[in-house]
Amino acid sequence: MISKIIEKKLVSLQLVRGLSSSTARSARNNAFNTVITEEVATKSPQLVTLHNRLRLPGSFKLSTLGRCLTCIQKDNKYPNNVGLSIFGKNLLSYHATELLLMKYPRLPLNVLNNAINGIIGDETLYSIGKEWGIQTDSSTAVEKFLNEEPEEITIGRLRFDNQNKSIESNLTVIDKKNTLTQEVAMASAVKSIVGAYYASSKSLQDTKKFIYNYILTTRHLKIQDMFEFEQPTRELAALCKRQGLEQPVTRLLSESGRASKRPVFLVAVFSGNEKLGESFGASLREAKIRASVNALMNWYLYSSLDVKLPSDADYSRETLKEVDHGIVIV
Amino acid sequence: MNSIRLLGVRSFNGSTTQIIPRRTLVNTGSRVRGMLRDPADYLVSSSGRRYPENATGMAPIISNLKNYLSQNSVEGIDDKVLLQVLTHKSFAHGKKPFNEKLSVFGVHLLKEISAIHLIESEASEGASVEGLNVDVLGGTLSKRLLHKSVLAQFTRLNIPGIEKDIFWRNRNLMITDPAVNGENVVLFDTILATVGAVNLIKGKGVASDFIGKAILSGENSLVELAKATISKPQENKSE
Amino acid sequence: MPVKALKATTVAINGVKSFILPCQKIKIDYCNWGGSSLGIKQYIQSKKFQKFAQDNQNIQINLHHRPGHHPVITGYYANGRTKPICVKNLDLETIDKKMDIVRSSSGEILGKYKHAVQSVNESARGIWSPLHVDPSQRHKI
Repeated sequence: MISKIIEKKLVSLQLVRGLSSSTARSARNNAFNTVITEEVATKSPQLVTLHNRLRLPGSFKLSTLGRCLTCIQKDNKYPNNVGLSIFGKNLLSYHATELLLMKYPRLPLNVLNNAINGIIGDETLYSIGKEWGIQTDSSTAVEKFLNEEPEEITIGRLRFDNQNKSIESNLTVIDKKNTLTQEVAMASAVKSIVGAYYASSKSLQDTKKFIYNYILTTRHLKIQDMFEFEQPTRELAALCKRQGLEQPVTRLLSESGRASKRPVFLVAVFSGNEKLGESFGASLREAKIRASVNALMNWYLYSSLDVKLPSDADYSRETLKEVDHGIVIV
Repeated sequence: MNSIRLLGVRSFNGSTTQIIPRRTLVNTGSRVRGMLRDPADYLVSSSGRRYPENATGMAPIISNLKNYLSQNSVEGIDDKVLLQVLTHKSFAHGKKPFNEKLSVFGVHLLKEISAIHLIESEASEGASVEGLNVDVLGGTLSKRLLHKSVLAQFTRLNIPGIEKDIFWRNRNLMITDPAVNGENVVLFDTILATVGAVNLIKGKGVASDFIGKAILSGENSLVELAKATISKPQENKSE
Repeated sequence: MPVKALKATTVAINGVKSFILPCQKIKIDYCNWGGSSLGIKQYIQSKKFQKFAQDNQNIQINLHHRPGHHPVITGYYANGRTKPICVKNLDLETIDKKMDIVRSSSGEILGKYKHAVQSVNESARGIWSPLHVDPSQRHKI
């Protein structure tokens, strides 16, 4: 009896498949057969809870949220989120750049780019998406059909063509053609939600608030761990010359156990009477290099006490005469 | 060929420690190993302009860009900042303030504002979200919009003569094709740095208006230029 | 070569500016036949449960008929862990408290914290250094 039912279902499934493949167009074109209706979306428990969890406004429709979870797929049933996620990424990257550049005006460009990637990169957005409770759809089309999974359950999950398909235990097929990894798919959903937030509120200020509250401030970035200097002493000398400061001089501040196995030297680097940086080391050479690194970090990680952003309502810095020179080139 | 001169004696005021003044000798002409080059030798742009040392020298160089900004009702940006906008990282081995980060700031703002402009005004086949045609993004037009050659062409057409004002180092003066010798990249960075500087100094509201008025609308707007490259693909290929 | 950039490391901090409840889903297993499910069946039909669902619209609640088993309340959390609590033979009031436990839990393994304050920020005062002490007071080796 059961096998008969399954057989019958499989036959009709093939029919459905045949139909969809005959009308299938390129996934990049975002061809679709039907759109997610608001009526179905309001029945979806995942969409309703996600909407409440993010305290999204009433103007943000549940059907739009459903679209945010539709990634690019081979057989697109619904319109996908490609455009929305690009738009969301544009919004996110502007605000991340603005925040970092205003907070650390002297940050070198490569560190800035890595920091932006650390805040809004796919890896980070993936974990943010998981914290938001976005569930991924791991069941196959056949399983869905046999389980008679209702549409409202399907649309509440993140749908994408997974790059890694586990067909048996210990056996995974990696298919890189028109597929996404779970990480990229989840990140695109998060970006789409940001894009859709603007679409539904039509307000850049509200979108900025959402981005800050739910993405930019939810991560602690250790920016001081992101620097690596190859020739710190030379770079510091070049910096002093460029800025018109006296050439840096390293002086020993204090020491302990010079003749012992574990000596410690405390060294500072001065430009004239100004102390630029200070550090310790097990040898004089090591301490000197560390002090130079400390001085350079003090320079690059300069941060103003009150950070104002150009996207704030009453922003104007017409008195600003100098913008950061740029990195030191040695 | 070579000439050697005394650059000057560097001594520092306001310091209590005794510093021996440095005497620096510099060399002009062909390179001599271990010897400093005369700054007068390399503080010259590819177009032959000398980098200004004071405010009076600055005025004629930045006047072109300043006029362009005031035409689009942006005023009050300091001359030093404008000079920095016109200085590329390649110039004088990065010894003078350059526009690298202003350009990055500008590109992110231009991406955001142009994306909003496109989804509001352009039509697409896909389903819209709340009246916004988001599927325009990721298409050919949106990609071309921020293409280096398109932005460079935009800069040349809208700020005529700007390529002579920019301080940069042409890696090979024998190459005249702007797509190969780096001129397109330099112009791309300059226009984006202009956007970045307006954003940094006047705020996002003024900068968005500037982008909307000066860059995304008008006869030679970025959108029109990008559309022109799509209709003539063979021309774009040569760049 | 000028400065090089290393890959960024970020730490999640939930609760700054916005707070997202770690509990994302609660699954309630019950049996229509077994006597141990009497309390949970009463709870499901009670106003308390309705109020719980109304107050916590950010939690997905699944009712799962599981014949022949004791009733279990399982919480699903943001960190990927679950917290199953058996509620066999419990009365309505106790089950309500158990639901509260599942809702409020972070999903982390229960453990003892060594320090009263945990922070991702560096200490504002820094670490005490013997080398910075006044030379006359400094310990000599």
